[in-house]
Amino acid sequence: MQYSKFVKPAFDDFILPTKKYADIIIPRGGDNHVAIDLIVQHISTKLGQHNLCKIYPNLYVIQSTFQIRGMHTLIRDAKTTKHDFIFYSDRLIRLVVEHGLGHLPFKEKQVNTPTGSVYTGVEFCKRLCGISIIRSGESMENALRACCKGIKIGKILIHREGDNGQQLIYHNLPKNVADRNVLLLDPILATGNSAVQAISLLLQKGVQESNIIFLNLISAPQGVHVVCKRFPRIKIVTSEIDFGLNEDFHVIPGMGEFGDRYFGTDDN
Amino acid sequence: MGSKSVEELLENSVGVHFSGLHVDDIELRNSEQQLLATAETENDCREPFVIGVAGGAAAGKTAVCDMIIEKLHDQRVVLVNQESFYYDLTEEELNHVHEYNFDHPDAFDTENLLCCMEKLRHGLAVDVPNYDFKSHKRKLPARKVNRSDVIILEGILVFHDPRVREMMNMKIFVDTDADVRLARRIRRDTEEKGRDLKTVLDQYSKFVKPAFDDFILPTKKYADIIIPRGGDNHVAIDLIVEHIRTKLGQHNLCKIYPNLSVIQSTFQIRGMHTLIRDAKTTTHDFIFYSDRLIRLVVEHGLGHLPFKEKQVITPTGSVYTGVEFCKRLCGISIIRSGESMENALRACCKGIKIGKILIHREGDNGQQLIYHNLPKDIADRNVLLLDPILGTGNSAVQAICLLLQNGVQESNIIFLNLISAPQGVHVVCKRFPRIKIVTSEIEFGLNEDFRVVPGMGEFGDRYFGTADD
Repeated sequence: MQYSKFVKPAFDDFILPTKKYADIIIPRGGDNHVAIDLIVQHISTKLGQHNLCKIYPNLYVIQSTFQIRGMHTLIRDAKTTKHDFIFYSDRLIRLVVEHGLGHLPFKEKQVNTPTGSVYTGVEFCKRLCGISIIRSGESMENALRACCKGIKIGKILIHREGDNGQQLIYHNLPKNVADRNVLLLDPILATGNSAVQAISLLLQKGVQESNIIFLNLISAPQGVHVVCKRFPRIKIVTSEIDFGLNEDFHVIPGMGEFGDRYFGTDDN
Repeated sequence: MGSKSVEELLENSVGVHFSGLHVDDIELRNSEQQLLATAETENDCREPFVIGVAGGAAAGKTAVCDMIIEKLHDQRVVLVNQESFYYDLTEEELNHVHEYNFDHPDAFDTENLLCCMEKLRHGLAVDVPNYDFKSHKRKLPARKVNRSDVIILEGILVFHDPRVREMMNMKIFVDTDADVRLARRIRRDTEEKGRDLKTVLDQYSKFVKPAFDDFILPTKKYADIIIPRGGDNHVAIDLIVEHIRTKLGQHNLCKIYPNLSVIQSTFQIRGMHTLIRDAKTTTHDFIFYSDRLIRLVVEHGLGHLPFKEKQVITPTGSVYTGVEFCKRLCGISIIRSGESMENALRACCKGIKIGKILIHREGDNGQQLIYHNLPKDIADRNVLLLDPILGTGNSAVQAICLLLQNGVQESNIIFLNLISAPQGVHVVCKRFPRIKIVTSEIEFGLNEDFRVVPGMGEFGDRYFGTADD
């Protein structure tokens, strides 16, 4: 009675006509696992992807887990001891470095395993070097050395005078840097000014833009825009993208002055 | 209606489904990717993802397929058209070609289609017939189709045969209103082919509409997804492509067991695997690269632990909303190989309690639990169970049973492996569906000695330097 009086006419008059606005139609409702799986995947992909990653295909944010967020919580907390700060920074840096190394080119290689089977794998790219931006970047050298035994590491020092002028005052790069893949190390990408100076120097020395992988622990959107727009072929690998910069050009929420906290030279 | 116009009709209906330009494009891509195919591991047992696209003539099936292929440009995608599988017409039938119903399911050589799809699904190259719509016969040479990651099977009646439907991972029905389909057909035929309106309408009412009502529309109920408006529907296409990408990245076993997690492979990870699997790698390098891989597995495993939300104040004075670690955690290593994973676990979790389980293997069959030493309050803890190789799964099952007997919750166990054989994954995941397994690679299988192949030999001997040589 109710069905024929209200439900069916309402369906025919109001509900059915709206079907044409649907993006997809799911037959069989909740039993349709393929369709439900598809929608869940889609939503989680859209949610998981930072907006910036949609704009810049060469920006990679390492997949966040609760463990990674837990480590970030510790290194961002102003009350965390120096010991814990170093321990968890090192763990996070190691993950960023491993992820960054995953973007290097490769060559195919077949090997025989002790069971006598053939394993088709890959061979590492050999021509590799690290370049750290002094001082914070040097905190990432240990993790890089732990993954790549005997890797050559060059240095770049950019001095900040006041809040504006930045000047490149020292560099020492491997002689054949032009032929190498370069992992550029700096845990914090804020305004992007020093990154641009460092990358410009590398390009002047003959490094291919597409051979540079820039490794960060946290990145501000401003810095990502500056670097990715100016050097569209550079890859950036970071573990978190932060909210932005404050009026002092510090990353917020950020973690304060990384170098001071890592090397124990903060005032308190 | 003379036979000529029927020919034209067929050509025309072909145009709806089949864009020649497109096929060239795919074949070009295939030849490029033959090079890449050699880079695939030989034991890559990943099945291709099969998508069926059905719908009435001029519904926009080709547009949907084109968009899917375009968006999956970095994957090997092959388009198989049902119309390639039309039967050759006999002389008799050719003489009365206008009476031949090309929209009937019996017009297609479905056995041959099944055979081709079966081969493609198993990673073999096949010859897809090259059907000539002028002579209504298969032409030589046939179209060579190489193995691919995604197979799109397109055609008006691809959902008709249940065996063909069974092969599909995803069934899409492109649903466009009859009037829109007819309008498209009229525009295409009159503007592009210079036909008069009456012929087009005659053809429609004689062949196209009855076929749609009798055979095509009834298969709509088998679809997983119905796409309204065909190729204009960007949201739907986007959603489908995302889904295919996710599925492609997963090992077949991950599709079956949601609690099996394989860490995302990069060339660096494959390079490390290449080194530790090589029989000629030195003990020093074996340990170094095993340690690096184990560290990644441990970090990934820790990512599966529960959490609590926590807010902290950063030195810039901002609030950071993060999480707090789960505190009640312990490691349990299966002696001897599992002990190689303790260092990485300690490097990530300072002062973590680590228990031990020893399972002794007598001969090739009998396995006996002969020693264990577990933290006293293990029942309240999350347990990371450590064993680099999951082979038959027998010792894993024994170890897990012991943990459950000691009161550990099944869902609190995370089993960390470096490499896992499918047999072991089946055994563990079927018996303990709530356990999480985290591994860095899934292997081809086991040999007759129950060793993992291709594997890396006796892990404990190579890691602890007790190999004979």
